[in-house]
Amino acid sequence: MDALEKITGGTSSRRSFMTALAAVGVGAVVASPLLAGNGLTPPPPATSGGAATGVPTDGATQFAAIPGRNINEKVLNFALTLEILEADLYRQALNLASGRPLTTALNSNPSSYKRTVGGGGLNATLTDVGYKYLRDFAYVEAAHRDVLTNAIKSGGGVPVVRNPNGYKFGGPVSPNIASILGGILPLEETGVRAYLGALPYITDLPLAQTAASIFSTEARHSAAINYTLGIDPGPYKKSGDLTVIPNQPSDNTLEYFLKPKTVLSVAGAFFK
Amino acid sequence: MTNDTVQQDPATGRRKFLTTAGVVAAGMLATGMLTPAPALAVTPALKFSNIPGTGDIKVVNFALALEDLEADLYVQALQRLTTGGTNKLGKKITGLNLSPNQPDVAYVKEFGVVERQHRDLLRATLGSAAITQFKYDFNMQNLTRKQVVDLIYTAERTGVGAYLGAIPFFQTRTYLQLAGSIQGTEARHTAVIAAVLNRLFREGLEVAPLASDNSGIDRPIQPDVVLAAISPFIVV
Repeated sequence: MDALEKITGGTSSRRSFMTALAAVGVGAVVASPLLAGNGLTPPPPATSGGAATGVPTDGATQFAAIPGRNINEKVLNFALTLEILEADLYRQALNLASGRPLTTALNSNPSSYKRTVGGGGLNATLTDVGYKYLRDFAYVEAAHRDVLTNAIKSGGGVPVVRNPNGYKFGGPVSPNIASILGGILPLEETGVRAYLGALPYITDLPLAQTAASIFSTEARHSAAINYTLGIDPGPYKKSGDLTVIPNQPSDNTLEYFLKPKTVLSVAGAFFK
Repeated sequence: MTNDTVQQDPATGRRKFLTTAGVVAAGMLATGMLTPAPALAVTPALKFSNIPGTGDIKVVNFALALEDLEADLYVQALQRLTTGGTNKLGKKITGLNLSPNQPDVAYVKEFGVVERQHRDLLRATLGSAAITQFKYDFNMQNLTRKQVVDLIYTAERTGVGAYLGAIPFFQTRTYLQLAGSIQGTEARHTAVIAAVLNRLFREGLEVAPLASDNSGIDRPIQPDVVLAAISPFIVV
């Protein structure tokens, strides 16, 4: 059961989203004959709700499963859904790397955590750096969660709450820094794509500024983890990724995005 | 060293660069060596109101001004770190002859390509409404390896905040996602360059804001503040 089903109680499947994505979304961003050979294509004027650029018009569909009295509140709750997940998995990751039971709550004192696991192939410096990231980012994601919760409350809305069954890593994670970072990385990279996908739905520009301010920290986290693991810091194209312009010059020119429904589907892998 | 300490360094550095450039230019003038024409930073500093266009176009032009600077900074930085070259002002930059395998050299080369693509993309987006291309003096030929990478870090970090600060100046959401997709890469570059500086020079930079720093959220920088910071490098 994926996140969307948990929220909607519906029967939508991840497979159907990915199929739809392959048929429509991805197809829409391959090179257009009008732009062939250019290599540098400005985004077309935003006259429709196209997947690739400009101002989308499918907000009602994309955020149908997310509570909120208007689109801006829905975007906030969408972001909060992800931040709750991220904060919880970082808490678990930090516990795993520190020899504590996974269920232990985040301690109010960051310096109370000490690494008890090895690097898993990382050198001594990167092992220490990787552990620092786990610890620091755990508090950052918890702070993002709290900021969004308070923003929704202060606007008179009702924030989404934690999944009662909790969260799990998307695959097997071993007790070493490389493996734990590898388990966290998909969350961060999905977070980047989620924020960028949700950004153009926000009708209030100051709110868009806030969302972008969180978005870029997720990009920083992703790059830092990639760097620590010795892989391309990104952005790099993953399966299902959408591009903002039709044919960007290189893989790492611009960040990729996912539509909100796709994100909820992908996030389902982390829901218990 | 905290982020705050580093944040203050560039301002001092910039003033010093300017002074040095002025002294050098004056010396060349006195000895009749001055070719090409004296390079002077734009004064007073550019303001957002000086950026051509209105509405969204003005904001995209502001972004182009940044990307134009970053792209040229990366060209000059790579020249300085590797085998040298000549900048657009005709100034000779002596190379430090570092190996291409060094992490700073490798990433400066890789990210430089990306910044050039950002610049060209924004220029193509604006067409005839695009701001003129500037020339830049970073006093590159006198910078140490660490100073070169510090300057790159400052530029990328400023870029992250600049895009955020510009968002409320959009009139529509037309370019919002495009701006975000560039801003995210600037954030990645900032994090990687910080990690490289930590590795090479033990600078102790945070790759991202800590929870205790604005709740772990990047801070916007107002366009006029950004332009005041970059104007000393812009030569007219």
